[in-house]
Amino acid sequence: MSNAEQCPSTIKSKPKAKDRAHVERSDATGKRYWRSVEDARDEPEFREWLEREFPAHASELTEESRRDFLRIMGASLALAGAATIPGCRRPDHKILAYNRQPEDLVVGNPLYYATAIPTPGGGAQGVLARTIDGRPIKLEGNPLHPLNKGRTDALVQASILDLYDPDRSKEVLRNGEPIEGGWRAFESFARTHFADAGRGQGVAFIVEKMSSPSLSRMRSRILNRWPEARWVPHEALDAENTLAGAAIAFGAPHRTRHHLAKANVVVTLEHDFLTRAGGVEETHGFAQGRRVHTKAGESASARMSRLYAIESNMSLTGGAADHRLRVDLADMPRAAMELARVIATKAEGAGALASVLASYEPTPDRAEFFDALADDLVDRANRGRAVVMVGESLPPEVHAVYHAINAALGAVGETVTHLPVEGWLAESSVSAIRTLCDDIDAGRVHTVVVVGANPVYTAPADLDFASRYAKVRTRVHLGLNVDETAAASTWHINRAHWLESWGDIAADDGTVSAIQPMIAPIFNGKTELELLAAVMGEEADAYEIVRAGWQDMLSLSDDELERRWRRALHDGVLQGSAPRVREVRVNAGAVRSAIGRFDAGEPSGEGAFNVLFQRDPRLHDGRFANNGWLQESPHPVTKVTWDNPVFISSGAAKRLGISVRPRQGRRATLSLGGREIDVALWVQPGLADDALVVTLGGGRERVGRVGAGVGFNTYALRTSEALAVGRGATLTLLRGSHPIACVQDHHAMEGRPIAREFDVQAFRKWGDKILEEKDSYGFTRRLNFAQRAGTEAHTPVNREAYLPSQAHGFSTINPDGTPRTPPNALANKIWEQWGMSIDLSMCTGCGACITACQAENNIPIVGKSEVLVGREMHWIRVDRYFGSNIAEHESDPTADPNPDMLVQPVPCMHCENAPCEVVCPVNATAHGPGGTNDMAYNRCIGTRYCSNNCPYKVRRFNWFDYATKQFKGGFGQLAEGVSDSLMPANQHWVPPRLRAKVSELQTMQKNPNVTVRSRGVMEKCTYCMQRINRAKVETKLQDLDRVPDGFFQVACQQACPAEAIVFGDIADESAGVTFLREHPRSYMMLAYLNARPRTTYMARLRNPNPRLRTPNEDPFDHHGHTDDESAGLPVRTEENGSPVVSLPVLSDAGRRAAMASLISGVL
Amino acid sequence: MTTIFPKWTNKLPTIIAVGLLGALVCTIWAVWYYATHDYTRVGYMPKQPIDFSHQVHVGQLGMDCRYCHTGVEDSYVANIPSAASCMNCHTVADQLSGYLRAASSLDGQTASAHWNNQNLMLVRAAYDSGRAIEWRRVHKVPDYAHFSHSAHLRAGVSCYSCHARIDEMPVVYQAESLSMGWCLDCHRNPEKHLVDTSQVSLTNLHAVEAMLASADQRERGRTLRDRRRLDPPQHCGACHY
Repeated sequence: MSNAEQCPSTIKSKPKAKDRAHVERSDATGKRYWRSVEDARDEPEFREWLEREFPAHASELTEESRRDFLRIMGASLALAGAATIPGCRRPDHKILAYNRQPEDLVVGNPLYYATAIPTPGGGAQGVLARTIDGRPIKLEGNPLHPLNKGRTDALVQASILDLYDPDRSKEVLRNGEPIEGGWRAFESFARTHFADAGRGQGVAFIVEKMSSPSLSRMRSRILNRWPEARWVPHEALDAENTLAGAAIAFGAPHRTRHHLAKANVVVTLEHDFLTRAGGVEETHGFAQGRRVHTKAGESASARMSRLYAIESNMSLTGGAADHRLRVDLADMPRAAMELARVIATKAEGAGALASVLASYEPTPDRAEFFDALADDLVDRANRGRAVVMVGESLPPEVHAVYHAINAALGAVGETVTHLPVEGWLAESSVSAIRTLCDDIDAGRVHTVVVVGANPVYTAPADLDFASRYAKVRTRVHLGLNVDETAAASTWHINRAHWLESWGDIAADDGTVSAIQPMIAPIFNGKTELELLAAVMGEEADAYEIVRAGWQDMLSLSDDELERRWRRALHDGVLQGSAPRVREVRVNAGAVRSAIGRFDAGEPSGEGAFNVLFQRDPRLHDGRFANNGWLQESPHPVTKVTWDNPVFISSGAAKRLGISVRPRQGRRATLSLGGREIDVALWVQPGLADDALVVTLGGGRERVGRVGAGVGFNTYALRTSEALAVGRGATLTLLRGSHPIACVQDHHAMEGRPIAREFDVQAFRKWGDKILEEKDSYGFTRRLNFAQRAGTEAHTPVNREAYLPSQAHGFSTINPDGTPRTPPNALANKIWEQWGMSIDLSMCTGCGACITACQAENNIPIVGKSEVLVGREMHWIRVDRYFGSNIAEHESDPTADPNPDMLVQPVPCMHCENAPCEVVCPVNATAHGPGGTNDMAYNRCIGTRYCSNNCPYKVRRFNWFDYATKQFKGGFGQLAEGVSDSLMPANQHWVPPRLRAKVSELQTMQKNPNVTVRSRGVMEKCTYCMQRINRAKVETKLQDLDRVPDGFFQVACQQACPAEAIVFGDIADESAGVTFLREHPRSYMMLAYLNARPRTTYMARLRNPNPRLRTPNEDPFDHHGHTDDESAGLPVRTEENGSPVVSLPVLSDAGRRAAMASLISGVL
Repeated sequence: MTTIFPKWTNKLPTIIAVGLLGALVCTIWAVWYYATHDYTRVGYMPKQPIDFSHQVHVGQLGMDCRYCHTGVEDSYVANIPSAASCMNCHTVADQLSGYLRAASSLDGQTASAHWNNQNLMLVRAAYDSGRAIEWRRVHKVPDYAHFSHSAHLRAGVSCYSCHARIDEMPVVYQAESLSMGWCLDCHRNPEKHLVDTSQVSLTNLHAVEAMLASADQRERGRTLRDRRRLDPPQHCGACHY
């Protein structure tokens, strides 16, 4: 065959798609890694997406849209002529100084105030609010708070955006119209209306569950005054089963706290504690248990906890688990009981329990799994170090059984503690609202006051609450948005955000925090306390109410109360307010009789579907639907943004004949119990084949421009009988598809071994060993544990490409290949050398870092239509891989019903030899002496060369004025029935000048220390340069030479509930980050490219139970790396089907030796 | 054969070429000269709502800059003082003037002049009403450049180096270009502008001016620079982020 025949131009076809099957596999784990079905099958659409830095639409206009564009441009030019041209005069900037400057305030410097953010459904997270010149701009965890210990989840990070939401409810409405006099008008109405309420007959309060002592006190005052009034707690995602289960086991409702840092063995039953609302404490504890930061020489004694997950959903917890058992949704209660039986037969003193569970003989397919798991749990070494966690979707009896089992395992007081839930917080939301509905039907209710909740949207579908609500004569609603309930009410009061109100809140352990305002209510909103006071005819502000409540609660003298109050405001927690944990005894008899009555149900037959209603980790029950940060943050597991499709397993999809198409969800009608809705289906690997996972919170009708019409209203299927699991659903496929902005394929990196994982047994064996060998050029290669599993074990040693005089001085290797301590840029100054280490063992993939970064760095949202073409702007992304066993699923990895999951956060790597820097034609991205890769936005001309040259795909481009122009929502969310294909043109093509600017309210949220980027500018993670520079200035003011370790944290590190991200000065030998970088688990992503990233990763460790899976103790002992190969030629790794050509630049002697070896090899 | 074009048109190409060349030179010169911060920014002197005089307060009364610009040593910005700061002294002055008016008819003119002073009435009105005075901003670096007053003061850069003889300005104007080149001039050769940290906010800017102009400033600056281990950053990320 001649060369001409091989030339693609002569054969007139594209080269055959390269076979990547061998590239994605990791011989260290025997797994193949893939992100999506398209990726695993290597479909052409995925390849195209992969090969372009930005996908096709991102840089081109189609012919149709080109015309639209020209038309709009023409119109805008005509307008431009009419408009006055802004002169060359300097704009007039005004400075409004304080009249009386507040004490402690230094203009321009941030002030931190401790406060708390209520967790939906009860509980709270303590935060420090950073305010600059009176505006809160960022929330950080309060280190003094006993539960979240300075960490937060994404919901808290995003709640600052709700404060500045331009769609917030701004005024008091009467029958939907603003009313003259506003709040005063309501007050006078309330005074007359409630004055003749008598004993409260016909008055009902629907209140969202907030664990606020003052609210509970307000409740008892109201019920004292009106004994016949109804107080209806309402949460769509209430812990009904959990509380009922505890009530069986303990005789009273209890909440269980899990102390996972102490646990050696954790078992979860459909309990996704990693994405639970307020799950920061558990995530932190779990990550501590997975922390393998062994000192040198101690790898052999590495210890980590083991997590078993038994679930039908594919949850983040299941992905983090060492062993995951996939069980059919309908079979979950039975499986849980079977496991309970196996444990009870083995655990000491649980014989009586085992005998009542006798009928639950494990089915053969899971007997082995349960047996191994139970032995692990009851192991003497794990006594008091084991815990089983049960999810809300399982029936109360299962919860009760596992309370008994946890007690038998000695977990109580060690890994679990129970706290009584008192008063109205323990009541069941659904039975309360059902009773209320009956009362309305009987005409016994004339006034309903809705406090915070949105029952018209969230109430169970069978109650038809909307029409019942309309029957009530007086309907008062307090809420942050003019939502569905507000629209159906006669009065709507605009609510004050947590950051602008006084209040108090108890965390999950009972610790009380004061909520204090950071800013005066922007729209004169009122708090729930003030509304209820007005209903009582009192004129009190929230501050007075909270103070009076604390006086009652603490019964102290005025002086002492003042002291405690001030202290509590300062610390963010009222010290000593957490009740003492008392040991509660399991009522074994009650548990046994509950089991006797329990019917676990039968597994549904082949081909049947059941619906699992799940909380959306971003939108909760839909209340955060108008929060753009949350809407655009990818779902931690499915990576879907801006939508809530119904998730279906690969097996079921295959059975129904649903073809997987990128970014297209097949439309279908889902019906359950006679109700049906049209939804889009999204294939999710790892789900049980009978499970349709439905997340709540989509399809809001009235919420604001961000959230309206996003997703599907799945509450329409949820009845009071089937709040968590609905059995017997049917699916009817419809024609057509619905675009799903799923980011799982975005920024993919060709399946190179970039996320690495091992078994802990391998680490114990090899962790302390350094592989020292000669590469084919005769240079010594030193590889630690994690590096040996990567391509760098096969490529020649990286050599410095420049002479020392040419090098820009930030490299950490010398020309001879030896490591070099980072140099000082100038002789008389020590510059800190910044670096970051991300521990993949501890990272759970929750995505708090994404939102924290967005809040800190003024990162805009782009909308669904833009995410669909790959233009999301997140500076840090969390990649999620599925891993399926090569041996079992060689041909089709997607056929693996139970793939492993691996997550990896990817910010900018800050390469020392940054590939982006050398291609920038205007030097807009350049190196700083601290080793950071800086972006000068004002210099960037938008060629995007840097982004094309970045091997890590971490650069983001402002295709449009995302940050400075008003967000108008994406396609497909404008109105019902408007198909995406009908939308004529991208709203962003309207010239920027003609688009609405962001409102002044939105600009108030922006961090003044970070530039707001405009159109045509490249941006990326800066390592929070503003925090670095401020820390440097502050240390300079203290006359310190360098920034001490731990002096500041970058935003993602600060938020990370798992403490997986560590940042610091890698030139400081005592710094935490230096230790981690030198750890045997540490490796650089794509190290063989010699980009020398400053962000390094620590390989993930799994802790398999040897009885269930033989640990791979010798991950390096595989066919790809033989002695023959490493001895002769440069090691060839088959990368993309061709030998990797690395460009080692050598000294002359080295080059000669290399050439000689090459030639001799060829000859 | 009749000529269609008169003879002088033969020179036309030359004239046009020379004219174009001249125009080009003029354009380049004009851009070079006018489109720089040295031309467009220096001397910017907006009319302020109150005729506050630095010449009186600093030059004549000898007040320390930090008395009003309190945050300058701690913060990125040197704050405009609150109206309360003005009233610290001016309440006393007001009382004094009232006392004088009552006690001495001789000095009534001075006293009532003080009382009726238009500017002071504005300050008092702002102080009493709580409405902020809308000062016009004079010195401004772009939003994408971040500048810290506190770091520069700590390093030993005097107010004079950027704000010139503000003690001689009845109305504040911008004396330096504040362009990036101007910043870098100093960051590359800081010794020309370094003074001892005790002198950075000297009220006597005249003395600072003289010191910086003196022959031994280079030497003194170098000593200060080495002693304080100063290494003014010149990379993009120092100011642009």
